[in-house]
Amino acid sequence: MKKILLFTGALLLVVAALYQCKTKGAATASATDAAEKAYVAPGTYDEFYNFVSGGFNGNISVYGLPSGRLLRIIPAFSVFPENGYGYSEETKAMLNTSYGWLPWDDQHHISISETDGLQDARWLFGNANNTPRIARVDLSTFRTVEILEIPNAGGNHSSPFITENTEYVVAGTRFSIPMEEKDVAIDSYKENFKGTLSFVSVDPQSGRMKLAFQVLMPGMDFDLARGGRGPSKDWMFFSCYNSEQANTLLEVNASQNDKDFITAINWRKAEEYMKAGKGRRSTSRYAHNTYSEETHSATTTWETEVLTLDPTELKDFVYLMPCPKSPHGCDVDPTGKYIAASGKLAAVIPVFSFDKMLKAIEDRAFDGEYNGLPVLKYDAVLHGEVQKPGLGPLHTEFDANGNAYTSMFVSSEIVKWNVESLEVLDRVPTYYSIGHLCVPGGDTKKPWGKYVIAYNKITKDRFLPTGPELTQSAQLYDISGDKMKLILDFPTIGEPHYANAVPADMIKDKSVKIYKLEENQHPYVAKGEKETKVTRQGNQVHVYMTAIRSHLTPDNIEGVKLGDDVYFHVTNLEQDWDIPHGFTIRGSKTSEILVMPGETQTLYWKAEQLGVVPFYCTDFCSALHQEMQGYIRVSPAGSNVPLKYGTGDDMVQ
Amino acid sequence: MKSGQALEGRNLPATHPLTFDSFSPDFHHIFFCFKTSRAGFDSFSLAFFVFPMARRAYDSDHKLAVMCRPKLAVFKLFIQLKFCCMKACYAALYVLLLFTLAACGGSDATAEGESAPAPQTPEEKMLAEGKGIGEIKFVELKTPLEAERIDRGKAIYDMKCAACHKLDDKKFVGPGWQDVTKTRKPEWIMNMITNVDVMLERDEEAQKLLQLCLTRMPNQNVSIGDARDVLEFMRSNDGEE
Repeated sequence: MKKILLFTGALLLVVAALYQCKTKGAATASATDAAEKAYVAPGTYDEFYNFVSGGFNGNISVYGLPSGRLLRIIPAFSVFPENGYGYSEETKAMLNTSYGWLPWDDQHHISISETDGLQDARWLFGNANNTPRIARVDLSTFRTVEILEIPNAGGNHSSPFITENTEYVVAGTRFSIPMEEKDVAIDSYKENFKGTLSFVSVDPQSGRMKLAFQVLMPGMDFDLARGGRGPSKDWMFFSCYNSEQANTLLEVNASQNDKDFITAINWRKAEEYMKAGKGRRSTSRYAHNTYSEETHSATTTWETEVLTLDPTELKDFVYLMPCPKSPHGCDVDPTGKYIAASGKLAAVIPVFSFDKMLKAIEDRAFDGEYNGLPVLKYDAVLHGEVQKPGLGPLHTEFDANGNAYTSMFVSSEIVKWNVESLEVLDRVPTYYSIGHLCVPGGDTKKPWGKYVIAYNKITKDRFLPTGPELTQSAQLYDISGDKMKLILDFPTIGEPHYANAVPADMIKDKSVKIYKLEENQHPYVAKGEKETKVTRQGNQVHVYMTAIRSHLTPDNIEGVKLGDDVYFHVTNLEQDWDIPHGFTIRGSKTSEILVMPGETQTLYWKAEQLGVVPFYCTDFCSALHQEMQGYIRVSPAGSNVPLKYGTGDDMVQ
Repeated sequence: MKSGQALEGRNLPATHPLTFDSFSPDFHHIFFCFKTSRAGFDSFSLAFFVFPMARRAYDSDHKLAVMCRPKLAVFKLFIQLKFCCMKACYAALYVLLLFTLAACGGSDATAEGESAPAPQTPEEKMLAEGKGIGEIKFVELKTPLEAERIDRGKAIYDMKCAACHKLDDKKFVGPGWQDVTKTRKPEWIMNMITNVDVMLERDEEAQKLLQLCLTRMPNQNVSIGDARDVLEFMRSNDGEE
């Protein structure tokens, strides 16, 4: 009997093993399913790069999708002590503005460069919302290589949206202001305040930006923008609110009108006016900062010229389309035929037809004027309204199958609807209060689709609590089927606003691995230890230093005097991928510098105390990284200690 | 075996530690661990399944190591099974259980027998001849030395090599270069310069140097043409004319 029992037991064990095997994953099908979709095995790559605006951290973060792993932070408008951006002598100039050197900004939106309405992923543009600027990031180095300040603007929110071939990147002011910084009474808004919509041209080869012209608009708040594509490629659309022209308590006073506007600008026509020498030229001082990968240094050029086009004088290139209740998002679908506008306070999502707009312009179907600008008839330009979409529609992205995805801030959900039929197809909750959303390539002619990512404003109970200040978050939904499915929550840094995603294959293979030493044109480069030296010019001491695993040359420096300004120009002699060296010195009042292979970066340090001061490599570079260190001796101002330096036995005097 | 496969394509250090992997999440209490070799992942077999042993790992060169931590109940059942007289049935079930486990988790793993020694590949032949491994199969040396090459080689040496290699016979970070052209074949030198990561992985002489210096020689992104110039400079440094 016992044996039978045992045998039965053993048999059961086998059956149980088989059963477990068969039903593996089935019991928790949905969770496992979601986990599998977001799972990227250790050692393998993600499918997409997700470029996410950093909001109040001022920089741009890069995540992998579908894993949600943070890959990199690209410093743009805020200093980044982690690698010395904004602190090193080479990068300081990137943060110059007409208001002085600014260590911070608020980064809201990004655009990936396009050719023929499709991502070419050469550059990424980002806006600075507070002190108006546009940054250009080179996607082969993931570095900010250019920042252009936008003059005559109160804040740069409707930016940096681009035209179909990246001919222009736009910068629409959020806050209208008195032009030429006039000292006027704030309540003279209606009389004195103007808004500018700037068109910045982008050189198709170098990417270099230039402020081409500014369209002078009535005082309002300009919110978001989108370039047309296909049939509408010559147009740019801006949403605007505060057509009431309120200057105080906008929460109430800018919500009075039943309709605000979508401003449609025929930029091609504006360009013709510019080329014909029309418009008014004026002077305004603004910073244009560029970073050279040859000299590894940024320089500021002070621009002065501004061309203003006034649409009340130069006719027929600006039209206003009435849009219900303080529109926010203003998004053009992949066909370029429809513009979805989201009235934050509206109960519907109006969708405008580009064809109808052209016809209404041709038929002069105007509903009067607003400050001298023609207002088109709402019914004449409307494709239709999405009924009962949800509460608080903000932004819309598109897939390649004719569907739109709109974020609903108040009702915390994403609503999927069909662009042609305007029928709501699906809705999923977000956790919580979604702001922007992103479908990979969702702002192009051919969206990559597959996912929609929600960037939420509130996370509350979704992650472990970390005191009063909580992580921000994103949520990844699979949209490959009829129904949207939540597959991943991932925390984000800063406060993400707009984002986009690019297939990994478009970027990863062109990623720069090293800077070639031979091509280094830095004025203080040491191409090899033979070129290392220490020179003195008055109170300035320049150290031409090299770093290679695992020593710095020179690592002993004497003859520095109290009060000297010491510049450590560190050249990383390595020529292999992923071997940066870092450098810092005790009492550094800036940050460390991280020096990539073949690059030169400079740390400034003032000798303010007598003594022998250690410096070292901050990036764990090799087995003997802890040995990568040195000393600098600071002697009294009048002392006769000679300048002497070297590594090992080769001290030079 | 996903993580194992992921590791396979990567450059594992010569002294890679044991890699642990489980058959499937469902059998989380049974762990199998495998020794990896430099060439990649060893094939595994279920030839022995040492059940009652709490921990036992074989760290021999190529053999399977097994670690088991069965749940207590299962363990007891098997202890009892041991005394079961229905040996045939028991053995059959045992095999069946093993088979089930193997089929369940190890579906994508195939057992590989010890392969017979293959004939020497061209790479192995080069290694055996002391030419190293890489694109440089044959270098033609000319005398007298080419002065232009020496100058170019010296410039590259100053920029990319001198930080670690001195020109005398003293070791600094790396070995001094004196007499290097007399002790190494020119092909070996140029492969070491242009293909250092693979050399450090496959070439015994290169590995000996790593053990001596303890700092991996960096890939300094020197082209084959530039490496040839450096070689000419080394010959000049060794007194050739």
